[in-house]
Amino acid sequence: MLFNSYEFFVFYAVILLVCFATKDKIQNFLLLSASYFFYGFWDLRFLLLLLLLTVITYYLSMLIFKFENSLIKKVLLSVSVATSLSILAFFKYFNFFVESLSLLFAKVGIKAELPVMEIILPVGISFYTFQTISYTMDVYRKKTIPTNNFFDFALFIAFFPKLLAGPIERASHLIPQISCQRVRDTDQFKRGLYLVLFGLFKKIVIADAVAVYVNMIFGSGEIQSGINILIASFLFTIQIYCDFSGYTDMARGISKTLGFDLKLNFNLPYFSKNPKEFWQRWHISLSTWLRDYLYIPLGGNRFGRLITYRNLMITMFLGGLWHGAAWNYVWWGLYHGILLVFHRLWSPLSNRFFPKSLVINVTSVFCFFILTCYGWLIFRAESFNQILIFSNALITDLSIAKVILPTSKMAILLGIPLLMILDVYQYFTCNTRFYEKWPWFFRYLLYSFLIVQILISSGNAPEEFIYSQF
Amino acid sequence: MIAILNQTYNRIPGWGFAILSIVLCGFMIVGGQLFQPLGFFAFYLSIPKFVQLLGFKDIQPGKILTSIPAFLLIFFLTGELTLRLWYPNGVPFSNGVGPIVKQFYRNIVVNKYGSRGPEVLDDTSHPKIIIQGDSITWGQGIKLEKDIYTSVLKHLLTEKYPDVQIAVLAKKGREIQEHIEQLSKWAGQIKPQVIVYQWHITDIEKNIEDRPKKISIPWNKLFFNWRLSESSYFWSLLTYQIDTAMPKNKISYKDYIEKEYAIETENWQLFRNKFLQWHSLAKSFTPHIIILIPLLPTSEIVEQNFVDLAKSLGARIVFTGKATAGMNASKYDRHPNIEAHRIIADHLFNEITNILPLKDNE
Repeated sequence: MLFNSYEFFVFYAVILLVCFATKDKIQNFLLLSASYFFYGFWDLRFLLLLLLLTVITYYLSMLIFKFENSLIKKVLLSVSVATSLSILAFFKYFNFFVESLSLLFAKVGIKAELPVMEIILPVGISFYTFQTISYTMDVYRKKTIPTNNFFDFALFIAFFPKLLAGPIERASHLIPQISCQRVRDTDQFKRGLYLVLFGLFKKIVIADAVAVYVNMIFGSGEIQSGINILIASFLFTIQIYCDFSGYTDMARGISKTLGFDLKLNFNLPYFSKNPKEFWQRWHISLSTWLRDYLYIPLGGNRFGRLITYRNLMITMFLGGLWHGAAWNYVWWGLYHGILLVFHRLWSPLSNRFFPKSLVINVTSVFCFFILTCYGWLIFRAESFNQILIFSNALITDLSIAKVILPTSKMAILLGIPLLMILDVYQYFTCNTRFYEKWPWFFRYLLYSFLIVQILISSGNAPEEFIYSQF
Repeated sequence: MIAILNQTYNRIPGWGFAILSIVLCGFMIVGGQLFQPLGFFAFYLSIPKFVQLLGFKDIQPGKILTSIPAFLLIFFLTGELTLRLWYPNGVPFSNGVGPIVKQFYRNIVVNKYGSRGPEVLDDTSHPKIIIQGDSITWGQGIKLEKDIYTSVLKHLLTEKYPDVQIAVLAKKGREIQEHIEQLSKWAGQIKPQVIVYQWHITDIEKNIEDRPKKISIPWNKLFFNWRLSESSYFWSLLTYQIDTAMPKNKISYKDYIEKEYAIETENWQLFRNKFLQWHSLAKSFTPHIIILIPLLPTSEIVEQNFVDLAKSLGARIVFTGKATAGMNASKYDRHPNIEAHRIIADHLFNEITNILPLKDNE
């Protein structure tokens, strides 16, 4: 049941009506049932996994909180984190590790037939395992008091709007909203509906439409000219942003209409001037998770430059691997690690020689956008060889004569320009709810235009969200 | 005005809302087109009460009542304007209705057999080819006749056979019985050297009314439908999209066709007999019979049964489904687009040039 499918909207409408008709405690129970139904809709077997992880994390966290002995606490923490990571490693990375190991053995001349298993990847597993880990860690660090209500905790893990692709919520942010009485606020509800609409617009009008061209260039297996790779990389940069932030907008919007407030996950990432800023704006819930539970425990920037660089590279390597069991995600993570290290080296010099000005800012945004596009090329590539071939073509073969233009006219002539106008407007007003101050006529015109474009662009079958596969 | 509406509205007690709802239901069920406007009006008036019932206490009924028509008006005008600017020449829809579709097919040229595409102009010319088919051969989703595969094929063949003539006998939804009738009517007069039969899975159906029914909204019963369906592009799109959103049948078309038209069924035997009848009729005019299967199979089993049958009769079969996969006429119409028609024409050209000898003097 995808967010952009008709079935989901029927499900959502029913949940909304049922929630409006019930009080908070019953509502929580209904939402939990609905979330399990939503997850079970993919595959009933996934429910067992989700339940198992929920039960283990809940009870171990309670024990961690109760015991005073730090050694026992550490053991319990290790068991809990190891359980979450083992589940993630088995379902997501088992075959990847086995295949990589076989390849490595083959390279050194050892013929090893390691067993490869047919494992179905449970959707959203990377998101909810990270959430369970953060919960246990927060309890261990005494940043969070574990909830006594198992159902509240289960809802925190399984809450359906964020179950498949985040944002990765923290207990301190979401559990109080589940436990406390929620106020039904008309403004929040309207904001929620707008976010759902805007998310659908990004997904259906832009991401799905430009994906046709991107898939053609990256998936054809033929040697492409540099200009087509350039267009495809640019379009994939737009696609992945619209696909993922579209999902997050919908998740946040749905939550708002139900009375919950999820974390902001994207804050105009392509307006970043450098990699550090990019990771403060892109997939914020993951980057803050990596910062709090990996980068800082590794030592962060507290032990000198070299250790900092090492920590950055480890964090980005694992951050890349988190995205999927394939080497291109690892290369992409390392690429961003290198950019972050380079930025740390470069920023003292740039601050001295290039004082802040509008021209410098615009140039920085543009230059970093080009680097981001190249990063997405690595991310989207189907093999390391393709990265090399495409990179070579980008340098040596930029002839316009071989250009193939994208056919998704509505996305390119209407969707992307509208998105850019709205994002630029938001950037300069520093207000995500800027449109609410517009006169009613223009607001209605905006809503109408978004709905009309969605209706025109809707195809027969809904396309999957990229990040829900992680 | 909003303040007056607020005051008036808030004076309506809870039972006022109940009465409005009952009135609404009554008018909508028994009222028909005459009372529908009243039903809609009652529903419109009850919307703020619904919102209040959902727990939003801070709403202003007057604001809701004024903003609904304002939004609907802006929404509809935006939709209409966008579609008219975006598709100035219309666009095909699979359900094929409304002014947006009429605009697309506005300059249709029909040949003397009531189809689109080439016709035989000179009975003495050589070679002559008959092409029979349904909506694909008719050219659904193709604006100009010159882009339909039959015309492209004629263009390709002309280089090799300068006097080639093609007669297209196609109509949307045409099935085997009508193909037999059409062939009986025209083939004797045309005297073809090749007969092409474009087959689609729907050809085997005894009666399309037997298909599993999909839930659909009876738009045509709405009191404003008659006007909008005649004049609005946006209404066509809305109708199409909401129809697409309706729940699917419990049994899919594929399952239905595989069950009802399995090889041992009476339905299959009926089709088989009809096809044998068509084939012997075609064979009486020419030994060169080509079966064209332009799309990917809806049911591989049923298609294979048909292919086996056609092969057993010695017919040549041309498949183009793999080469044209995903090449749709529009987002709203899955018939082949211009590029797909060109590919179909290429495949047919190769097959025809393999079987037809050149005239002695060429």
